[in-house]
Amino acid sequence: MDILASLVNGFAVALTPTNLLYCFLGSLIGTAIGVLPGLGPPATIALLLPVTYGINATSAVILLAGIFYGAMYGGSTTSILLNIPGEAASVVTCLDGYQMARQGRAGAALAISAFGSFIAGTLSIVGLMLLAPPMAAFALKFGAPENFALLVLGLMMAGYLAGASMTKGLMMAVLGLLLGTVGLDPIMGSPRFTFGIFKLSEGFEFVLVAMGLFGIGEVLANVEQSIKAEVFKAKIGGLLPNRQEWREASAPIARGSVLGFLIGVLPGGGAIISSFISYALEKKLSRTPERFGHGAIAGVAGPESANNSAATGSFIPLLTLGIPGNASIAMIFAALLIHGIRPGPLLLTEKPEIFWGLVASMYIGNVMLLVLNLPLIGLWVKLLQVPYPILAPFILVFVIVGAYSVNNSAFDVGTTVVFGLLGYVLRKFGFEPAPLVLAMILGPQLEGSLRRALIFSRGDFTVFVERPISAVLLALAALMLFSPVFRWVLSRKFWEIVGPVPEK
Amino acid sequence: MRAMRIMTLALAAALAAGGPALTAWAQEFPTKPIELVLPFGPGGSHDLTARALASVAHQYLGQPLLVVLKPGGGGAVGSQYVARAKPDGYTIMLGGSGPNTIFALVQKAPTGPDQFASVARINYSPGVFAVRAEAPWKTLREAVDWMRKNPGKFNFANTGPWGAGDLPMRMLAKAAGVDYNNIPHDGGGPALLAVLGGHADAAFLFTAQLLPQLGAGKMRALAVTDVKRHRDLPQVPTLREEGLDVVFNMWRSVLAPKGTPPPVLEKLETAFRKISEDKSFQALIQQLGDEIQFLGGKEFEATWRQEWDEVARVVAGTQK
Amino acid sequence: MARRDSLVALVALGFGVAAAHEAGQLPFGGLHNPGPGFFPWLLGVFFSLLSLVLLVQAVLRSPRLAGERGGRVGNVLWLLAALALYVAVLDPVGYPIATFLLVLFMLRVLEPHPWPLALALAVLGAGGSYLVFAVWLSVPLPPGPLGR
Repeated sequence: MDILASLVNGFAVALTPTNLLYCFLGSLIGTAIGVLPGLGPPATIALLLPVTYGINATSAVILLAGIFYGAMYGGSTTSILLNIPGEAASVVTCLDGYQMARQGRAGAALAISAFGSFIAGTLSIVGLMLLAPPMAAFALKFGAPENFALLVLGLMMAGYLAGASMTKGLMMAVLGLLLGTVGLDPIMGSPRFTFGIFKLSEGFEFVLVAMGLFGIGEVLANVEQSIKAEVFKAKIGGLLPNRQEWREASAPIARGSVLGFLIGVLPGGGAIISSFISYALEKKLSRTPERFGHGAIAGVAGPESANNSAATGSFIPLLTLGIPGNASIAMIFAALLIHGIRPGPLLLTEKPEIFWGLVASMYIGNVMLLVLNLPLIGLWVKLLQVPYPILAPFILVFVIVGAYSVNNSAFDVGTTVVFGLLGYVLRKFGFEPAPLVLAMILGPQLEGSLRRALIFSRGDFTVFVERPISAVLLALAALMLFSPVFRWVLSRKFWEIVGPVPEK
Repeated sequence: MRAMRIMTLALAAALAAGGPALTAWAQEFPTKPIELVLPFGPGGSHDLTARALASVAHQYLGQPLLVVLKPGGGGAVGSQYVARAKPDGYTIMLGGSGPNTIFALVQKAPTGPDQFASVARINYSPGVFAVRAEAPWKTLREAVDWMRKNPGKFNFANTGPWGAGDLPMRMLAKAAGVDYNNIPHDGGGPALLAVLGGHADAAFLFTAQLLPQLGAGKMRALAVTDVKRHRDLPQVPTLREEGLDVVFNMWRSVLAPKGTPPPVLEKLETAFRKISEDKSFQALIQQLGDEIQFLGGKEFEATWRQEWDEVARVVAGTQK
Repeated sequence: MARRDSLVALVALGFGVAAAHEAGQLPFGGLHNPGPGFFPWLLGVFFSLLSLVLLVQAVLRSPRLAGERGGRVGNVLWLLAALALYVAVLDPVGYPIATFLLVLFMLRVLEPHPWPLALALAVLGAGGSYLVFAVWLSVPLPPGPLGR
């Protein structure tokens, strides 16, 4: 039992009082960062990096990994409470999490996302421990065509997020992709759709768009309704999920964990893609899909588990290949490097104490996050007892400061307000903004992989169906796209033969 | 920055845990953290060099140096971001021959020596032509022969169009008279992944990134673009030895937006000079397989303008 | 609602066509080497096609749910105007004063509350957030004439 012995050694490293302290600090800072808008994990880790130079390598990585995880937990808090996604991976959590909060189940939503994250975190660490090398080999199979196919499938699913009409959902996804092309062309660097405004050549910042569409859009929509309408049920049910909710959440947590781990290994936006693929999957599998978007706990449990286990999965390319998959991981890479450790194919054999110490501290970090976050739930829920008309200006202030702090510019606050108006108009006409935001983030990757794949194949589109992984993914996407059409055709025929049947 | 307080908290913990005290000299210029922008994605050689710089910078700047990644458009996105930033010394970049010479010339992007004030050159390094370990080509000559027999079939992963991992290949192909398929990637990390995964045949990479892969037997180096062989790769010939007259070195220099006040530039140059003399920084760079070739702002600008003119000629020659 | 959806679909169709047209101005490249205009052009076309699908669905189908009921639209416009003004004066007037006025506006005009409560909350909202974010967390919010 080589692995077991190594793990015991790992725990011996992670459980020293100093490392426990770093683990706790990392989780605490991460949670705070996740809750505050406008400051994502990469920015925080960049800021904290100098602090880690003075401490030993294992402790430094434990601290930074704690921040990375903590932010994943914290990001869902504002999604659920205020409909403001703290970071990209928790956009999907807004859909049902915020609805649950409006129905007085904020406590249950927060708790299930904490437990879901904990369970997913633990499961994916087991995966990391046992499967790192084969998973890395799997990740290498993803070239441009495969990435393109995965993104297409993901976006198709993002379209499916959108309540009643898949057409409208897909329109939002394409609109998001179009917004994502604003700025400089990712391959040649020539400006597109900037209309001569330099600020636009950097593209739209995710935080600004998300806070506008969701945060300000929500405030505008509520300002429109009469004062008498209660936004949040005054009476808050129990703080923890009840037995029924647990039953509904358990399978989504398990599926989300596995899905997140698999997708998280791929470089790029693993955590984001996995969160909405998990949501769409749960909606498809659910016996009551109509409840999604109206406070279905499975719609919180699945994606929250998926984005957490994706975070763990994203460590694999770093630890086994020495290539960081995203900006946060690149910082952790840097921390190792500064300490003279060169993550690469030989890390596992040459510096096992780093790998196993990290694995063990992830276990401990997950426990710590749960302990840290559960008591906070009571506090958060109290916030919602403030009457909405009084809460609304404070939400706006929160959004304004967040938007301002991204680049310290009033222009950005203006951008956020414009997106707030867009969000308000969209919901008036029955469009869901979540696919738009997700597509906007993934757009440059989609375009890059499409163009790369075509250059690779010299303009031959068959490259997408000749390669097995991309063929399967694209077939799934086509199935998603056309299943409503098939069903529609069938139901109309049925309708003509049998006579009027109640429309769903 | 908002996380400053949170940082102080962690800092206190670090100090309590026995970390060395950070020397903070209250001075006029850096009163807040300085952003060092990289126009590349994570994991490439610029990233690694910047991290090494940042690791010791606070001792000499009195403020942390924050590495900010702004990839895209062959480095144009990040370069233009800095070129247009407020010239107060708080937004500087780690530029390179790719975005600031070649790309600026090819795309006529405003990212050349006229748009920046040079602060200091940290170092330069040659590109290494590398293939997957399982690839059939054992030498550069074999690879070039294969390209000659299969025109346009050789899949080359560049690290950004016209970047430092693209121009040498264009020069090589021109010198050897071969045709190949040029696939754009966002930096050295993604290009390396593509070659490792078999989605491309070769790439021009830097030792910082390549040495661990070579050590683990995952990649094979076939040639270097310097005039002499590389210290850590004594068995790998230069392109000239292989009969192709191609020489190319990628520099890494700290650049500030044009119009940054001279006292600020001076302060930055002094700080970076001291950083380059720092023992632990030198050890880190060495570990990456690079050397430090420090050059002050004025001297560097002269070499930059010289390179600018040379590359302008090359570009005119390789562009169809 | 069917008519409303048809209208939305027409507006969207116009947008899609405009986007495709704009993208058409950029270099398209070839299939073997797509240029900057390739992807946005495809998106514009897709968006137009989806708008057509929506149009067909809106015409053919029985009304489906679409959006929320109307309400006090005037309030929304007021708030938007206030926010636009806020953005315009943020730098010259400074964060504390601008925010104080915004909160006061929301608590007096949009949802009338008693003066003492509204004033107290506006001071708390503007001052408190300035203390927390600008002073304690060092976000460089514009201080305006009050600071310095």
